[in-house]
Amino acid sequence: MMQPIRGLAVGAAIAVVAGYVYAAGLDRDPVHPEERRVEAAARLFETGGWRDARGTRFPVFIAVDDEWLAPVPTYGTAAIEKTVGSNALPSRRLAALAGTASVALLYGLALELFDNLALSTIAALVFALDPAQFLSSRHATSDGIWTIPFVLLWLIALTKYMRTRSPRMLSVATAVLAGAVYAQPSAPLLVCVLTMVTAIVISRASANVRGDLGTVCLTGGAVVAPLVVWFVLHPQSYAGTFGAWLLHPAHIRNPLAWARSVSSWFNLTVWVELYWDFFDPTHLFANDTAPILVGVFLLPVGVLIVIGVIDLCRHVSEATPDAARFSVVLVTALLCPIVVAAFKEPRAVDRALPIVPLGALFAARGVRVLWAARAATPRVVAVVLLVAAVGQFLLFYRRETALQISPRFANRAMSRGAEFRVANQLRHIMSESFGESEIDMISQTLEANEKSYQRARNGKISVLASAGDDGAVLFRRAPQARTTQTPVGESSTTNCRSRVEAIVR
Amino acid sequence: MQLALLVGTAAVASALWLDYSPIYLHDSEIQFGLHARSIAFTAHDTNGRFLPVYFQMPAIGDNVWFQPLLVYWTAPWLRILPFSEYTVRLPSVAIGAIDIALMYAVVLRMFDEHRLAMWGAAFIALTPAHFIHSRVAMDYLHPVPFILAWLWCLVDFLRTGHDGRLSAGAFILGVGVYSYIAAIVMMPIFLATTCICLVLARQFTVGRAARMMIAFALPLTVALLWLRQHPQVIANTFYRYKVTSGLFLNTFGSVRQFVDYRVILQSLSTYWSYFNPAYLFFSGGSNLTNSTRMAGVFLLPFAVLLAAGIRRAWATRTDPRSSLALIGFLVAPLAAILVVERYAIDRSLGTVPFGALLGVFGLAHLRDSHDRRAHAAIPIVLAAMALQFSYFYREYMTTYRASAAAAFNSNVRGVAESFIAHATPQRRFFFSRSIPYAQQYWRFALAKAGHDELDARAVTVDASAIDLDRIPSGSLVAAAVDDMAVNKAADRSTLRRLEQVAEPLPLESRYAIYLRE
Repeated sequence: MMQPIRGLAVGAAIAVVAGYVYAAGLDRDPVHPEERRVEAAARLFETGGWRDARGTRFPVFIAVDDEWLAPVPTYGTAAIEKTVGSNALPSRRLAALAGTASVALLYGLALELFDNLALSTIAALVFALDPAQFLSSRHATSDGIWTIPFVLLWLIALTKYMRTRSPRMLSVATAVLAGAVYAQPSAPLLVCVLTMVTAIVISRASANVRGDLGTVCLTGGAVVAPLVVWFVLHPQSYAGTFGAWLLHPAHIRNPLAWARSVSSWFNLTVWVELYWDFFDPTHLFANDTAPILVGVFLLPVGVLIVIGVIDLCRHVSEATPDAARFSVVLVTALLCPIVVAAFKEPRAVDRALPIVPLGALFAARGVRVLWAARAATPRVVAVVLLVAAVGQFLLFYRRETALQISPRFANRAMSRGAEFRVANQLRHIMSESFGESEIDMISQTLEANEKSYQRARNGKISVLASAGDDGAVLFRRAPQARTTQTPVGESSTTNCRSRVEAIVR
Repeated sequence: MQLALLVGTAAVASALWLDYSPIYLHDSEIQFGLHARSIAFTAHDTNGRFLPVYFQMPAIGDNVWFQPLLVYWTAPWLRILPFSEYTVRLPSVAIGAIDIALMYAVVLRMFDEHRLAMWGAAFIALTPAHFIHSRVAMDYLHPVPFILAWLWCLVDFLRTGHDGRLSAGAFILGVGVYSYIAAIVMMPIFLATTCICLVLARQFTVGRAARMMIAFALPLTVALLWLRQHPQVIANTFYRYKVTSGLFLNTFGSVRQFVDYRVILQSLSTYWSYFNPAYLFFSGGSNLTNSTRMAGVFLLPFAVLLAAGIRRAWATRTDPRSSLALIGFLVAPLAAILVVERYAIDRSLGTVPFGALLGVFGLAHLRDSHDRRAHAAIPIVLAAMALQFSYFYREYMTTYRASAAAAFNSNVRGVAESFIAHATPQRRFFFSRSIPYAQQYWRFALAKAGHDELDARAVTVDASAIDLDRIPSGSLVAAAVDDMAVNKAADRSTLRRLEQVAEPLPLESRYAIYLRE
């Protein structure tokens, strides 16, 4: 065992640095409509004595503009607003806080798994410098950073339970996991999936399976009880919350219809396709639509993750505690994108963000593998990869902070597209027509277009070409946002438009 | 005997109602059929070239040249059998049957077990993608028998060390280059795979490699000699694939584009998509000519065998035969990614024999396992496969006909047959350009009906560019029902709608026949 104080000091230092990076220049990006809604609800809480727009005191789900907000970001924002005031983007401060807490928790989980200060530090740093984590910690969108602290706490408690078989740890794990249902729209489904993981862990690790399962049911039931009471008292809120996020009211009335819908060939095809697509290496490790090619993970980190996962696969048959605990981490990571598939949103990493810290753990495991080698070359490779990861993040950070429009919005708009393959084609056309330096944004589908048009009206970007209301739209950053600007001729714009129209049709 | 029964059953199942489903001939099938008929009776293609090595398809585009094997394989059949949709497709059924027999031979040589070999043959027969492609007169399936024959040679070499087998395998790959355009890329890759296997088996020598190269190059000399006479084929083909801006462009384009990370990443993403379980086990190819979209490239229960097979092959990867199965499965989609096209099973049918082979590995793995559950899974998986295949077969013969009608250009055949039925000694026929490949379908229908002389009386026109009032009275005009120019002429009473060409229910008619009053 390492010295606890030293470990705490390192963890605190990493968290402080991460918090500083996440919280710097939070007002740089334009406020997302979802962030506005959260802040409006928080303001209502402040002025109305913790009542929502419908006058309900201490609501579990908060009604704003005919939409329902999850309580964790809303109450959290209200609490921050009470502390720092409404002008300081409290929702983003909360996101930064959640991001920082996640880094600290990941450090704690890594200590539990590796029992090694250096590897835990590497895991925490890799996680802190992850582009998806960085961006999520700076934006308070409805789906985003909120589940990560819950999942990490659950994993810490679960792995402790695996080691100690302590019912108390199991209670903590269950309580934390159940608490995640209040975090964000995609959380209820994730909680269901991870509850199954908990049950499997109990069935394998417990000496008293029935007793431990009872503990899970009691603890989990107690945590979700307010939710049940809320739905009994406010049934009208179900359709807009759990009805949309987890189980449609019609399917509760007719479970057979639900079973038919879930098992329909078409649905299964779409789910499997989206699930597999989430693991596309160009999405996870080298996204050519993002600045500096960053994917969900940094490219060098991807190499380390692959090494770590292969190492686990080689040792999984050995029934060691290390293999068992990392197997739980791997299974959790593999299950997260099920939520993305269920929501039928291609590559919507914001709905599966817990995969990011778990990936960082495997990257650290990859470092451990390389470092354990007798030859010097693997060690050099490990160092080079880590340095390269930091380098890629710094380039990304510079690019990210220099832009007026966050590429995250571009990526989100992209990922939320109904037909993302069209977007790839459009991107290619743009690169042909305007050259890489001219391209800042591409967006499609009506929903994305609305947001982008809004920004266009605000003068942040200019519309290059449009192919109708539900077609594709090409954007680029407004001239004032650039230092050097090459004018785009009318002919190329027209040419691009006609080609876009052709493709969309 | 058992093999003959299996191959016979599969061939009969594939040959049943060939002209019923897919509902119509695809334009490529039409053109292949016309070329094959022309070669069979005149030794010239429809463009008048004497026994060409590559067949030009001007109806698709002047720069389009197709590989010759399908035409030369079909020609003898058409020499003997009457020309029809059925007989044009029948040679593909034979290719499918050959694949099944070859698969048996490969597995038998690899595992030395008749029962496993029978299952290997059954797996390829029960593969939806294989079944679908053995019922269309297109050349996508044609590389498969060459791949299987090469596999047999390589496996036999690994067992016997007989050098002649290696050369024979390389020669077969060389001939396979003529089977389909993707084979130009894939056959050299399989040649390289041979070398990898030799290295793994510690049997690689420069002499062997040289002999293989010579054997591989030998069949290609025919093409080289012909291409010297027709250099435009190479330029046209490069131009054609350059348009699709994939890695192909990268390879043959400028150095800057060669290192274009975007294209490389797109290709990587496309490659990843070829292992998407949704594609492999749920929906298959993205094009309805290659898939019913209700079954994957493989049957869903086959996923269990494939997964077990990959595990077994990986565990025994030091055995070159295991590596061969794995490498083959991994490299099979490479040709498809060069044009950055997702889920194009037509370009990656090499996946099928290697998938079936890995399925045999999986079956052996489950059978040899000490786990009772693995033993219990075998009959369940095999029964589920049979069940799903029967469902797929029914779907293919019923719903698929209508759902794929548009992908097969709808009922242009009906248009041509209606024209023939209404033919009178003086009547002229006009096809609007709104009907795709109308002239080719027309020629096919004429050849089938034995009325080739009517061809001179038909012409394809741009209805919006010509004055329909000036075409001879009594002429017949065929157009898409939404052809604006023809509809305007009908509104002016210049043309009278004679009939709408029926499509299968619930589809609406897509083409109509008009009479010039």
